[in-house]
Amino acid sequence: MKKIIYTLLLSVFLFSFASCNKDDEEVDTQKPEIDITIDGAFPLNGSELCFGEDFTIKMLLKDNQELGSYSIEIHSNFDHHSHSTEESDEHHHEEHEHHHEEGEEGDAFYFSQDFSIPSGQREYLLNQKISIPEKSSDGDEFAAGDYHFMITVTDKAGFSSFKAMEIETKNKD
Amino acid sequence: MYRYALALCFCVNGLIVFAQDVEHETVIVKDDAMKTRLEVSKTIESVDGDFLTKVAGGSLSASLEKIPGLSSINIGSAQGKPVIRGLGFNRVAVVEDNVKHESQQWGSDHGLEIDQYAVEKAEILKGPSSLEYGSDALGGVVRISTQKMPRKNTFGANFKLFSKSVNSLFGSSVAFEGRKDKFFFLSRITYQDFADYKVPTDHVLVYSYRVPLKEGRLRNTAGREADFSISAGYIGKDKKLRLNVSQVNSYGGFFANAHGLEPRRVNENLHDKSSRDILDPKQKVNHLKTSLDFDKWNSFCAFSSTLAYQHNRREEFSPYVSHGYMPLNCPETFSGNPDTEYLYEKDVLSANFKMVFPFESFTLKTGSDIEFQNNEIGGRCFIIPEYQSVKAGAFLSSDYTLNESWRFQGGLRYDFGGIKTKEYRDWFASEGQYVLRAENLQRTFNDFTFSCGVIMRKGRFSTKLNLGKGFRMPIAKELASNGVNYHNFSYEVGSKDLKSEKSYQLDGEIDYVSRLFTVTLTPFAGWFSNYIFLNPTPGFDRFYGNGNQIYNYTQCRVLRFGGEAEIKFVLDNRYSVFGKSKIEIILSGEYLKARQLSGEKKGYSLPFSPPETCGLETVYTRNLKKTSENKRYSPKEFFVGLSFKKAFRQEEIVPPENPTSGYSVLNFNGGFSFLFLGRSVEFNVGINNVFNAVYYNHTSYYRLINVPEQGRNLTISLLFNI
Repeated sequence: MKKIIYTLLLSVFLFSFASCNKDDEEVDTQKPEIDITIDGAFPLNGSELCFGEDFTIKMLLKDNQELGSYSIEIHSNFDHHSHSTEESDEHHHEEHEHHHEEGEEGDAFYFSQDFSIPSGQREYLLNQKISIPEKSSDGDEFAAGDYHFMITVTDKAGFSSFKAMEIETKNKD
Repeated sequence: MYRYALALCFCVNGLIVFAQDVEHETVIVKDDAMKTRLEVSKTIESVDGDFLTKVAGGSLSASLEKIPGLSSINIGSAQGKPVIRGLGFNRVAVVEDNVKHESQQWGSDHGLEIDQYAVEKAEILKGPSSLEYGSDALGGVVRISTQKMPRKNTFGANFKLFSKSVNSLFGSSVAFEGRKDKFFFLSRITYQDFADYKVPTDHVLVYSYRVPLKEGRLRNTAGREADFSISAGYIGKDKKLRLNVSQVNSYGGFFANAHGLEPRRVNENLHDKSSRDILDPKQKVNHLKTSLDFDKWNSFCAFSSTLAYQHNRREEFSPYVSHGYMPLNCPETFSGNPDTEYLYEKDVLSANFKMVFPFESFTLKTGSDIEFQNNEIGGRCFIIPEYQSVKAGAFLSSDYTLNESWRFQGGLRYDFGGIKTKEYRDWFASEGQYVLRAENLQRTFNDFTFSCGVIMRKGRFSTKLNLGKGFRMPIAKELASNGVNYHNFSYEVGSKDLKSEKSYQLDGEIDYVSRLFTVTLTPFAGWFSNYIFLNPTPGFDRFYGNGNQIYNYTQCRVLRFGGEAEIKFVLDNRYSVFGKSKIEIILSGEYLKARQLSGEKKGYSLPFSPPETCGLETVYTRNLKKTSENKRYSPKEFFVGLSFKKAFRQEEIVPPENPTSGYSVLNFNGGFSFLFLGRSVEFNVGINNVFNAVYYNHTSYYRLINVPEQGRNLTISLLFNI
């Protein structure tokens, strides 16, 4: 008799464990996306930026629930470290031989800024104008050459996705 | 997913009902592990060195993964840290020979600095064990013993040679031991050298960037490890004195295409020249442990004490890369090696005392411990500041046996501790400012913890129930980190106001032991009133975080529940048909759920949650001993085994994790042992991942960058005793 009681107790114990979470709230488990296949997406791998000229970032940001914010970083790639997420043909294979001499002279350009996205958006067409100064704050010319353009987008839950492109910069003629 | 758990529990219930028809008989528990299990009201599992030799994974933690309820966060092929029912890092205490192992366990790419070939016995306490082990033991304890006592007037040596195909590992471990009448010594040297390990794919996608792998080898994961230990002492009629010194040194590379989780362009030709070379990024770890044990006993009480000193040094190297406001090239004024990314150095002094008073049906135990730590940092990047900490505690516990059926255990503990972190400023200027990353901070914590339990044995049944409270003081990383963790692209911000973490857990266990089989069920439910959680926010920080995503340390309520089930059938000489053969069939399953009940991630699980798994293991053993003794050669035993593990899909994730698909893996084990000229020789062979399956382990460190687990791995080990 006692054993049967045990068995019953055991079933109740385990059953309650296994069925505890019926009332799960739906939580977001999907990462946001950066779509660079849209018409006129910019910049892409191999794109060129010019110091002293504005350019416009154009990409489509998407999330299944709600977008958070995004951040842009542009930094030099003179040491040829890489975060590239996009396949670029010749860039990858010449790597270390392809050392940019200009990188050694002048100041390296560095840009980092984060931007908010209006709340409640599932899709956001990024159309952000960025101004690149012609000269550094000391009045020196920026070093042209290989740079990285990185964009990271988050959703409200804290998931993030990022893309990194290898770009070229040049000084104004 | 729940239907599997349900199916499992009904199946187990069915068996129990079936078992009731079997006639009653006295059950003698032979199994050592089972004996330990039946004497402690907490849920405990234990394995011996022999088991570890047979299943030897890449690290101690990986070898222990076979135990239900234990998983391992593996980094590469030779490093891993244990996770008990989904709790790891500083929530699990590892205690080696009475000394709490203190290293850099807060770091996600840290592995346990313990020589797995020196382990004689490993016990896993699942659930809060703060009572005896203080802060950090709230998730459980991995208790390791490397000590054994040689027999009187003997001298012996023991050689282990081992090799693995997946990382072309070669290693050996040699031990010498001896004892006169009262003086004894033990010593061991282990050395292993391994190449980049192989995964069953020709490329991996790191943040959608395709990384080709030469011969499937994960670039630059080679390494080597050299360990030694020596212990010597005196054992008398009523006292024992023992001095232990051990050193673990490892040197190994990290996957070069992703340092941490950061994709890096590397010179693949340089790396692919040799699979055995160790290039950047890499780490060098040294752990020194010295301890002095003194035990004294008489018929009234037993006293034991341990004094210990530990030194841990972990240095990570990678070529200088400028991040954010860091200068493009390292200035000559930079003090230290510019290629040292992080350096952590820790000195720990600790002491513990215990007294046990055994009465007829009642045992009283009391103890206290104190630990002092000094932590220094170096390197060009910053995550945690330098700090000092002190922890002290005292406990009283008792064990009361009422009669054959009932036994009660319980105790109370008080802890007190403090931490002092040191101010840190960047060595480079950001917009003209040397950023203050950490300030001088001083915090103290104290708490009461308890544990109480009951064991009830009735015939073949044994039932246990234990309620325990565990607590943990926040660590330097949680209180005072303020920097970018480039391994995860996260800007991690500590919170100086965190409260100590408290956990309450109810553990149950039901064992049924019969002639034919053993059933073990270990359900649990636990509640954290303020779990410390690193919460990824949608925001970025430019000035302090170089434009990286902000992760904040927060506290939330967490509910966890689950359990493990195991049914073991043993067919042996008790049934005449089997004669000298033994067949063991083990069915096992694990289930775990965790829910955050408050805070920003309400409704989510906890990071690194292991998926549901089930397993089927069969082992055939044949005793080859003959009655007529052949002096030159006589066989002892032969065994073959197959083990199958199925893990279900893990969708219980927390940002930034990815869901992980389910997988099945088949492993093979076999061995043969014999006596040759009176010496025992043992030969073991294993094939892990027989079908070279491509799968991902949710609790693996490289999971986030989509690196699959190791491919087919042939392991061979040879042991002989002299």
